[in-house]
Amino acid sequence: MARKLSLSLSKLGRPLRELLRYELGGPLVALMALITASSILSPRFLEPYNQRILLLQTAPLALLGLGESMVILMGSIDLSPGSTMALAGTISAMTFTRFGHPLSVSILVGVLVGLAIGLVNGLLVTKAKIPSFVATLASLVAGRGMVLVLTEGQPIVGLSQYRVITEEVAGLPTMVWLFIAFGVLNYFLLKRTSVGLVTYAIGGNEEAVRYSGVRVDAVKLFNFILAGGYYAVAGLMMNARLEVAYPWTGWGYELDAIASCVLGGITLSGGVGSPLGPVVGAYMLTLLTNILILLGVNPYFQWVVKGFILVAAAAALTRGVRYVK
Amino acid sequence: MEELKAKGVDVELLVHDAKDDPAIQTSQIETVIGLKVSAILINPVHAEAVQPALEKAVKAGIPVITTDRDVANPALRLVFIGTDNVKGAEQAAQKLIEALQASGKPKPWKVVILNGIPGTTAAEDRKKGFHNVLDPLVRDGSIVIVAEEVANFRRDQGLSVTESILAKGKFDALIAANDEMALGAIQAIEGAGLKPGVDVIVVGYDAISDAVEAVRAGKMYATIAQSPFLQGYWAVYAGFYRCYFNWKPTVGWIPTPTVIVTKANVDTFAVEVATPKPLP
Repeated sequence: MARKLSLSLSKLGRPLRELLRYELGGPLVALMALITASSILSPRFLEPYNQRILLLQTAPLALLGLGESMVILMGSIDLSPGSTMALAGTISAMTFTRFGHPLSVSILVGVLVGLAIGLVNGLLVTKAKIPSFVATLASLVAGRGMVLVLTEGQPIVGLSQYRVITEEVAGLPTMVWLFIAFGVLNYFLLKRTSVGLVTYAIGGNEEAVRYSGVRVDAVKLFNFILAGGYYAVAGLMMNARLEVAYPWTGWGYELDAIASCVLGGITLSGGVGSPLGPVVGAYMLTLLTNILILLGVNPYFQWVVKGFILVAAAAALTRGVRYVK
Repeated sequence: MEELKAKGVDVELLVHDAKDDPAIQTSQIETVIGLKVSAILINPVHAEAVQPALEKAVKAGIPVITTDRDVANPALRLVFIGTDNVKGAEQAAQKLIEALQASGKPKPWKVVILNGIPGTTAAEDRKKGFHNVLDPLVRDGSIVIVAEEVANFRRDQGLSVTESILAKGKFDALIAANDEMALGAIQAIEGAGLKPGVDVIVVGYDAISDAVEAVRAGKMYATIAQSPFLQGYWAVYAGFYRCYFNWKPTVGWIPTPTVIVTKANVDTFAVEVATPKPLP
């Protein structure tokens, strides 16, 4: 089987074979296929305006995906991204409009809110020993509740100053630079530091890591906190995009965050996947929504298509795996 | 209520807030049944979940009047008093056409529709209302619906969906099944360097405060205000007629009027929808 596969691949040429061996290879090939197909199907796809909005729409989702991947790589799951981004955005907006603090303070407060929710998630998992699915489900529900209590369901207006996040710097909006920067940071963290090494190891075999005397709980806590920070940045980006803090921001986005990870080649059982996978996955997910609208596909049918693509991607990524749970 | 009291009617109003939770509403209904009230005026938080509690009320002989939202089983209530969303949406679409005519844009006009959460009454009724007005114009070639998408009543989705629609090409007008989606669309239109209200005419629905501000600023051409005041006002009268004169409504649903909010009446519509009118 392996022989046959390598034979058929050799026809495709050496560069592609090299690429597929790399852990981000699969997602990148899928991404290139999607981009090629989209640009053939719609002449509008490659236009600068469309590429620009794709990046703008990808940025918050990519941040959610990056945070989610820190948790999924450890073999855990985080259901709180959507609510965390909303709560961080809301409290930041309130700090700005109701309490009249400068923008920098408000942004800092927003990030701190995200880190704090991450800390709670991490403590629930490591100290209270609640499975991550349940612990973060609680944050998902309680977080959204807090947003609705604080906002009374009404958007917080008057955030035009948040435009600094969407304004262009050197040809791209600041938030696009931000997500590129966070992507690089995440890559460095996971591939060049011991925290990253341990993160992958926990996803591979947590028992073994524990027996080898590594402070697993500390790393777990760190990753949950960092993930919360990423979600908060996504929430601030949405504040800037809408110029209001919208109480339903991020509703259901935890699933998009998980899907971004899966499309980016991160396996849900943990331990496998590229740090940049979620960024690629988030871009693919955004691209799919975009091209289906460009093509004018029936809105209900769009969901069916997305479902099929997700299955196809997951199937391609698990080729060669002996079994899954 | 005060009016009735002034006329010498012995009435008292007990108010309960269910916080949009069917469980809370159920226990509140049970509580007031125990108090042996003469009538229940209710905005059901869920079409089915509160029905068992209302059945108890009916068994206890208490008339139930639903406002704003209805229950699934019409036998449970005396009458439903709420907005005719189909008609409201038709008004919105007509206003959009008026604006397009006034703008002098060349025909065929390119129109975008943003729909709400599929399956909800409000979304389906408003979608129907839009099409009632727009479809004949599509047939005679004066408008083209360039995109009809679902943005789930949400502002963030209104933004991203409209951005993608704009990538297909510029359009002349956008009509959304609620204001949140329309406001998201306005954000997208501005992001593309176009002027909402000039390059693209936007019409929303609900007249939420942000939308009213947008109408005042000329970014949104029109939105549709419902009449929560009249819903409550008529519901009180319906209850009073029932208890005093054993009134039997001839229809199951008394529609409350909708008011089109444009720049012309942006400061006065609030008074307009809060003016008492006699129960039809």
